[in-house]
Amino acid sequence: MLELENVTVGYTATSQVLSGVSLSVPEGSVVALLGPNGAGKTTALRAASRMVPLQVGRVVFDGEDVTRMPSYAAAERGLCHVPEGRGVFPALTVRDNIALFGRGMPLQEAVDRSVAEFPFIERRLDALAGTLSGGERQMLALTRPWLVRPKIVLLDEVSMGLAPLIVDEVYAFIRRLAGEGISLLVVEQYVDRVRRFADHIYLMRSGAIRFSGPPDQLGSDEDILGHYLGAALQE
Amino acid sequence: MADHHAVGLSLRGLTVRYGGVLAVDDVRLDVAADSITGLIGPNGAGKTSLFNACAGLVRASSGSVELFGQDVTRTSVAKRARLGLGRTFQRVELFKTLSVHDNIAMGHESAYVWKHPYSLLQALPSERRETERVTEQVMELCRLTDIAGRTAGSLSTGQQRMVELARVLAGPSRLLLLDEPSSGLTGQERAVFAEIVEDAVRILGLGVFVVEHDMDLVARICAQVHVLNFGRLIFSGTTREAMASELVQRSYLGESAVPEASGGPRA
Amino acid sequence: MHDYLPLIVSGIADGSLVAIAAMGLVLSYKASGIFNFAHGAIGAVAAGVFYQLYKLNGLPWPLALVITLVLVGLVFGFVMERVAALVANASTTMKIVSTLGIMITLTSLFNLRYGGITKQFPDFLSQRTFRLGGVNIAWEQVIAVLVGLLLAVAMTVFFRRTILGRGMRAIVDDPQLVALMGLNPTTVRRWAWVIGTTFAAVAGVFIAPSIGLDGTTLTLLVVEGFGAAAIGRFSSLPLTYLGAVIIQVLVAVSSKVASDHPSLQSAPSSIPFAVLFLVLLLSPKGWLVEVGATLQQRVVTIPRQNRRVGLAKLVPVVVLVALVPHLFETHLLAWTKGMIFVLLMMSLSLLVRLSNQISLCQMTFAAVGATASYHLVQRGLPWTLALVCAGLIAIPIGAFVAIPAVRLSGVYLALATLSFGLFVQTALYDSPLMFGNDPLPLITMRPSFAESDTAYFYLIPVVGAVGFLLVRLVERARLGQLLRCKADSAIALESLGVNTSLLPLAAFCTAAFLAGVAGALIGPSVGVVSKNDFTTIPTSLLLVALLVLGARDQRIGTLGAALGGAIGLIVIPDYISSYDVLQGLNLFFGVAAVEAAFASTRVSTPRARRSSTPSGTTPQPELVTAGGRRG
Repeated sequence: MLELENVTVGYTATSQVLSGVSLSVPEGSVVALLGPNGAGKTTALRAASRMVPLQVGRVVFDGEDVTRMPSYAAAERGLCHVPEGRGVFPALTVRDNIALFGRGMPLQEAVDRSVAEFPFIERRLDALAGTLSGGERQMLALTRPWLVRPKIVLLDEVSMGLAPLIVDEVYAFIRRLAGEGISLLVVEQYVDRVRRFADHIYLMRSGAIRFSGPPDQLGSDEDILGHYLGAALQE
Repeated sequence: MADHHAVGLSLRGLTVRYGGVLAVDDVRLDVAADSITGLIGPNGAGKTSLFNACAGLVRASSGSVELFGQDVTRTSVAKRARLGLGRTFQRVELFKTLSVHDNIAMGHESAYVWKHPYSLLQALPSERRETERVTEQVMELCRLTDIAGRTAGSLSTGQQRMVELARVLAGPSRLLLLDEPSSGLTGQERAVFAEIVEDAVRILGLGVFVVEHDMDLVARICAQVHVLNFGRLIFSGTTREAMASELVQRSYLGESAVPEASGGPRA
Repeated sequence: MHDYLPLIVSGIADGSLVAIAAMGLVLSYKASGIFNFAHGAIGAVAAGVFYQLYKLNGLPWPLALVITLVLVGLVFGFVMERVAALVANASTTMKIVSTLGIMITLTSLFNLRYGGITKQFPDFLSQRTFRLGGVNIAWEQVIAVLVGLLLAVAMTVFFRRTILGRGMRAIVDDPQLVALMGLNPTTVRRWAWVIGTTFAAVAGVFIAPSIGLDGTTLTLLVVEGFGAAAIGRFSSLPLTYLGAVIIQVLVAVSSKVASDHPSLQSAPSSIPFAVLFLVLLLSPKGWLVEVGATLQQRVVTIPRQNRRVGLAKLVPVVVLVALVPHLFETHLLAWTKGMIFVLLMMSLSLLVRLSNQISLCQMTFAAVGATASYHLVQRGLPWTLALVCAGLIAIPIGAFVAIPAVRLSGVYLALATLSFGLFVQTALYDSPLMFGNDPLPLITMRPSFAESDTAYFYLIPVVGAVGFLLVRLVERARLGQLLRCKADSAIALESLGVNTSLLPLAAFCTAAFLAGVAGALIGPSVGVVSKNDFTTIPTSLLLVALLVLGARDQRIGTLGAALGGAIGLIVIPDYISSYDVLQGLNLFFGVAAVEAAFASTRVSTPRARRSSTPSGTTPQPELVTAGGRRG
């Protein structure tokens, strides 16, 4: 469904954020991209959804080379990227956000379907999205893939800054998305959240893939912590 | 905590709220005035918000910020700086069109502005001498002497971070806030950076409060760390204790565990 | 009360038309983050196109109107979207210069086609009236109000209810997220520009019958809409509409009051500018948020002058100046005036190039200086003393303008200075303290020691040299360094403990002093001085455009940029007697200013020189920390 081949990205000519990253998301599967802060996970997603230009490599989506495609065209072809922490328009009302999310369908239908998933939305329809709490904002952002029914959803740090119970709720929803047969590429800093339902896991550090395999090969918590906390742990 | 040290910065019940989001929740912590203290935690834990509240860029919703025993909760950024609080930025903020030398000199000269009636026009000879002396000294300390003449905007990220550090070191600050100083730096640059920060603390007798993701760096330079999660302080102690703490490890792995009894879901 | 009813009615009608222009402005500003100073000029061009089709080509007016709106709306919508995209990464100053350049371009194109003389514009709408509640109301007025209301309601609904409208509201906050929704950000912005410029066109065509086909007046009338936009906080369409109606009713009613009091005669036309200035001055902090400001990274700054201008570089300048009276005897007066404008440009350079602030009212400071010295000399003050006093009197004016500058930046500062300039021009130029009510120019005197043309010419470089030294002093003093720092990163300077809010004040005061002195010199150069020498539009705007143009190449210093600009603005036109060629010259300035704004985003790394390090080591390109990244 989605393939990154040898993708290299640098914001300036001299520094590379991603160096030679290859990963693939087969149709209908859930793939998790894990790693500590600054590993380049977010950049990998931005490369996939065509928000940053590639220095080297290519992106293939649904059998089509989309490397040179602008991000709105990739979105129209069914690639839905929910960016980190800001998947909503804070200056617009919740209703306006939903209207933009589900722009192919009547507004009332989009609202009804969103409310069915997240009942809190009904009370806050006319509130500015910027006044929602972090959890509510994230759930609102997640209604977009639900309404759009894309071929693949890229989720970036959906649990960031959220309390555990909220994260539970968010992940229950993500499971439902996966249950609909939508492919998922999930970036997450919390390993345990995704290792239970991901089909395949990539572990990144310093802009490169350091591990690729099914979750059961990932190793113990201590090994992963080694990745996250660095050598400090082993001292 | 840190009771045998002089306290540089202390937060009492600090809370920061944006719109509906509670970014920092009732945090109480101390930062030593003569050593390096780390602030760590997973993404979105509220570290940057806490930092901005310390520096005066965002207003505390409640609670207080004390700098060397003086309440600065309602004090402007510039005033806090004059009281001895220096900072660097997550996205480097340099005077891009000025040379490295002039950037660092401004770090020192800023203290003379508005000091005397014609302070805007000319530096007194004594001021100029002192500025030059301090600038040279700091450039040496930060190993920037060789690139003193280059325009700050043309440097690499690593060099820019170093210039930013040098600029704040040249000033009168007694407590530095370093906001993710290692981001964008290569491994080697990080090592050099750590060395220089340690040297600066030792030679100049500063306190440093650093937000940092690179745990190796934290482990190396920080005597003490505070760990933040969901805007709350979940751990304070030495770096080694923090790394060993199950609570801290779990906060990084994201298991459903809210510390202390007061927890519960907040939305 | 009954006397005022017809005035209120006509105020509402005029207000509706101005409101259309203002709403168009707000709309494109909201979606693009670019404040379009050329908005009024686009309206004027539309009036010209309509005039062509209806009056000259004889098309029926509805057809002519539709063609005009579609043509102007689409062409300028597409053009402005491209311009906005090209300057997206430029500094705010350059963004302003780009639309100022378009304004200058369009105005000169308009003048080339229709001449500078106001033509009668045909009344294409019904001139019939009816009586309602004892007031005669023209159908024309009813139509104006209906069109205004219709567009306001339609736009509000469009914004709230359609995907494109929602996209336009969302796009400035987060264009990337808009793209992730599958909407093409360029398309969204383009339509915002098309609608915005179409609104300008509607306003231009409907306003023209009442004032005639005159580019400058039409442009100015749309500038009156800026005040309404400010009331709407540059974001709310209904408030903008309301603001425009209130302002125009005030104008209409006050013109009645003013007709009874000769001293107040000029007050009504200044109201819109006063409103704009006051809103900018008094609005609470955080009320006016610069649209899109958070998104721009300042990739490059305005090219800065090298601070060590070698004396050698001054030699050709000195030689040129010394030879002028011998080489250009017949045009000596223009060269004299040109030399004075060098000083004026240098004063502007202090703001624009050094501290990255923009002043669109530099001619106002000059007018204050000119009139102050005239009146002081009339009262018997020695000429030289009057010259200095002229500069000193301009200082508090500069300080007053700087009050908004303390809090406002970028486009709002530009608007504050523009509105201040226009306010002084419309309200105060006619007062006895300035040029007086008499249409005749003021007769100015030269000092006794420089009565001849040549002597007076040589006096200017002497005063200019003092001014140049003052500019150099500020540039090289701590103030200059602080202003540079503030332009680069205000937050970093604050974090070093410097209270930065008063720095703009010092810059404005110095600039006003120099401009005041320059203004005082202008009159004696030709012997007379009138308010027409000190227009905000176009002279103040041309000053900015030419300065930026002159400084396009970063190797050109303050003096070089000022010299080039002054020669282009004053000296060359003196050699040109043809109106068309003159307009062609302005056209060139406009286009070149736009190009300079584009070019500013292409400049690579700015250069700086080591200012005061004694050691003088050769700069080493090698890295300290981790070698081999950049050579």
